[in-house]
Amino acid sequence: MTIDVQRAAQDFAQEVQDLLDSVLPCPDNVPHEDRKVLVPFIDGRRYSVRVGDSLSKVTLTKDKAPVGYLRVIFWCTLDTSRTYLAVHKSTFELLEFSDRQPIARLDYMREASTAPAAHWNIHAERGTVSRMLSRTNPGHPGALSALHFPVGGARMRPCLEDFLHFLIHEFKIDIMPGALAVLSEGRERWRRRQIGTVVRDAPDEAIRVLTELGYAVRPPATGEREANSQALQRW
Amino acid sequence: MTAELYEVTREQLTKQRREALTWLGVPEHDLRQRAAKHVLTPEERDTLTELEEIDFLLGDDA
Repeated sequence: MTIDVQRAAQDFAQEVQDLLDSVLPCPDNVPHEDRKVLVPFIDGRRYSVRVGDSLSKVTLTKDKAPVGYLRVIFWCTLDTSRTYLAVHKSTFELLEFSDRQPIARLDYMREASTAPAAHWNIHAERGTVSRMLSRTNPGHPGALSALHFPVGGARMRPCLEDFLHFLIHEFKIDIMPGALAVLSEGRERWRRRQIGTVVRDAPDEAIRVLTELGYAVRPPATGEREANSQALQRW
Repeated sequence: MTAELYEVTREQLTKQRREALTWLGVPEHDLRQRAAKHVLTPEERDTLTELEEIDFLLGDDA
């Protein structure tokens, strides 16, 4: 099976655009064009999905006053089977309006080897952490912001809707009418996609659960597909 | 609003990369070293973000 990768990238970018438009109001002093999702791509294979320029900042407001920025970036390529548009890397980041250092960042890196594929970085330094790191891991920079807090790996990582919900719930930023329903729908869409991917990783588990539910599942003529232990075991 | 795809060339990206580093005025090796130590200034961080996108598009991010 082959896909129209450019079409898939357009559809994905439009999903991000629709989500942002439906959840975050655009401040009066921000040109609407700055909220446009732009996707530079090359050779029809690599796509960078971001908002406006490469810094990809979306202004967050409280009572219509700017209070911070959301940065959202997705880098997409074809997956290893060349049948899906896959996220190669994503970054969701919260910044305060006058401070260009982030508060928190949720990263996903498909090919990560020295850190969990999906992780939070929290930019809130604390002496206790630096002290402990200096004793246990002297090669570490010693900063809390350099710690990678794992969050469920590639398949079960939080989605952009989760990050937006976190901003709304904790920081009470301005939202559009109906935003929470849009987040719920988007989260369901995301989780259904991830379930599909997890089923491909572990078809034996899918068969077991479906059988328990009373379904009759037959293996394909080509034989049963083995579980992808490498994907299931990845950090 | 409608999201927009636009194609870029290797030549454009290479030029953009050169210009970003010239604007910053910091050698790339120094920039990468400061990034590894988590001591980037906001300007350096923004430039690194731009370089990382370019390198991804060029396929030089591995």
